[in-house]
Amino acid sequence: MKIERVTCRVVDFPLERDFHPAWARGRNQPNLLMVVIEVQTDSGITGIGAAHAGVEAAITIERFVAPYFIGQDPTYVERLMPVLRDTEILGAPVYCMEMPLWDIVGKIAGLPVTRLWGGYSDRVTAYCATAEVRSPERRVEDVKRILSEGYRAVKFRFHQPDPRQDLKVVEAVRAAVGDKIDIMVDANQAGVEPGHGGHRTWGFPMALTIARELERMNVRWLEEPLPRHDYDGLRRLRDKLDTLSIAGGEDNHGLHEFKLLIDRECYDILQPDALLSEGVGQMRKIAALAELSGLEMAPHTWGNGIGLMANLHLSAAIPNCQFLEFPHDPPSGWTAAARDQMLTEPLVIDPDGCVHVPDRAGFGLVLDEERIARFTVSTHTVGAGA
Amino acid sequence: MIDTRITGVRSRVLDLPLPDDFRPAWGRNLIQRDLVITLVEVEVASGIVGVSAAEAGREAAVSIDRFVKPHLLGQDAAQPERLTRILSDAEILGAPVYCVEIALWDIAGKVAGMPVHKLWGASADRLPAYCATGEVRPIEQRLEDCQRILDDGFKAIKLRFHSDDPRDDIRLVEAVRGAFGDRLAILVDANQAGPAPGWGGHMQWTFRTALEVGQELERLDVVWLEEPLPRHDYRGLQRLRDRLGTLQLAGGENNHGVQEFKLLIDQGCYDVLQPDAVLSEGVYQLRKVAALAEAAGMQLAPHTWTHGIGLLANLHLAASIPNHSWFEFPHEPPGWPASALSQMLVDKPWIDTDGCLAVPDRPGFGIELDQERIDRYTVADFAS
Repeated sequence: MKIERVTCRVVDFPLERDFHPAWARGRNQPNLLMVVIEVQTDSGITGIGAAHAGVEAAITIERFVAPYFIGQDPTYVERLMPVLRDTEILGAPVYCMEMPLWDIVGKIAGLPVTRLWGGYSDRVTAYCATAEVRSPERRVEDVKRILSEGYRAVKFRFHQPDPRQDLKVVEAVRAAVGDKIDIMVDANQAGVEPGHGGHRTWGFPMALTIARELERMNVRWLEEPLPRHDYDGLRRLRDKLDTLSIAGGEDNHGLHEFKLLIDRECYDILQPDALLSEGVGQMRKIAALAELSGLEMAPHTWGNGIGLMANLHLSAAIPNCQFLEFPHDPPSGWTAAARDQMLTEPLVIDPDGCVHVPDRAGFGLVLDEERIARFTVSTHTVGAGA
Repeated sequence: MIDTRITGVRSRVLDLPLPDDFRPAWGRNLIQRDLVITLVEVEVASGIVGVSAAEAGREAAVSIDRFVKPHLLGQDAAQPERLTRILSDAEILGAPVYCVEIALWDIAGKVAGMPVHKLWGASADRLPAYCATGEVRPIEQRLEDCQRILDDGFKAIKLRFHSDDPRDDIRLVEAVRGAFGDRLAILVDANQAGPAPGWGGHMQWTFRTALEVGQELERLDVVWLEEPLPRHDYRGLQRLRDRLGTLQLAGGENNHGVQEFKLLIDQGCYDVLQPDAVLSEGVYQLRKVAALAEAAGMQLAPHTWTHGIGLLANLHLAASIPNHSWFEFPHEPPGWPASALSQMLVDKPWIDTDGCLAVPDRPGFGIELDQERIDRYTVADFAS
């Protein structure tokens, strides 16, 4: 079997309503921009993947990846990985290109990728990941809805100029619903969304102050309290806490950085993302390192439903993953349905608040071709028929 | 006060021809016939334009357009320390665009009317250059090259180790030593840190191979061995360095961000750090790396194999720090002569009779663009 063609479609989907992500500092994000990636083989099997990115990823794949994938056997994933790893020296990170290869292997085997990897489970508990900064009153209403929808856990964003104001959201929710819901908090201090002009960094004393308050309120984890390469600061913070876990890693890239984060004891919970941080198969190596160090994984996933699917398969395949991120924050434009609008079937939770791995070969993705075609802004093809 | 608010950021992708086929040692059969760069110009309200360039194509231009430009417009170019986080965070999703910091400091130098190396407290006005070759060539041909290089005035040469059996490469060093004795300092580059993106992995040296080669080069009195191991193999590099005596280990061009250089320094990986202001970090941020290196008793010799604009930026950087070493001067005729690297500049940098490269005595980085040639070879324009 050989790879014949690599196609990247940059797709700019609309959101139905405004969306003000906390990390974008007031900006309205009216769209979902992504790259749909297809790796076609001479046997008729096509592997599907996606980038949480725009044309910079498509061009990077076109220049630095596709020419070296064409003619290769897609099932030799470990042989192709160095191409992806070294692409980051000059190009945009495209670890996401490992995903279509595993989709092909799964389709050949006729197995969901989770089971190809010795599946640990067929479902993972979702936490409802919110994205906007809202008042305590509105968040109490949201949490009541979220509980009625079946979720068992929710994540809030801390982005007020004075983070002590953010604590009021957690206090109000605990007062209203008690311990009926697990609460996570994300400070997004590891790195801002590129270009947003630097962010108000907490510094170690503020991170510790907030963490101690969250510990008192029985919060499960605090995510990204410090910059993504502040290995010493993260370890110091973690050493000063008892029941509150420290989580992070979505903005770290490459196995070597995750090894550092693990060896230096920065986090209790590692959060690489199969579209952003490392290849989806390589993340199993991170999971193994974490397992042997007594740490958990909780993959980051934002961006789009294809990425969520990759992270779902990975999460279900490993023994040390308790929660999967499930982005969903109505009444803003960012809902589960909007997130998965490139798929014919959006991912949903069951009555226990879990997401199921689809019982289909590969990653089990069925693309909504008509919708993708409608919102495609550019197509980049390398190989046969290009 | 000169108004330094940023009013425009323009990126142009240039596809510049090379005068002849070039077969880079790291390219594994690639024949390179052009030099693709992205010229970046940052304009401020007073009309001053800061210049830089990425060693990259449209992926860099798009990354700058999406992740950098919207957040630079309206900001004060004279406050690069406030803006540099934009560049380091762009790498989370986009191509590395640390090169933009060069344009900001070019503006600062032009506002001050001073060459940037003096703005930063110069340590030198010229630096001894080594002639960096790029191809693997037969021994006889390389000996002829060495004579030409000596005649040109160079005092040092860098050779590429890329033969399937590194003992063949060692024989080349023996031949050069035999022919020219100590008249030519010899540096060696193994390019094991990471091949050019996409070139499908390279013949990887093991630790044992690296150690054997290192010991042979030490016997042959080579100055340094560059990139003997992968760029994140901190422990392996430290072990290798501990086993060697007079041979220096050099590397870092493929590492990104101040924090990776801190790791390389703290772990004792290299004697000579080789970040590149176009590739690895902001040009001023590299002064922080130089300070860490200085405090650790290490040197910093920037990688410069990008283009003439990058060569000048790295030259100012090296001439502003006390712990500089040999300065990389890429020159491998006929495919990759120094004049091809600098074809976008009016004045092509060249060594003086002592084999040194002088810092241009012009404001900023002293970059004077050949506008006509740039217009001729522009393939994409991301205008303001």
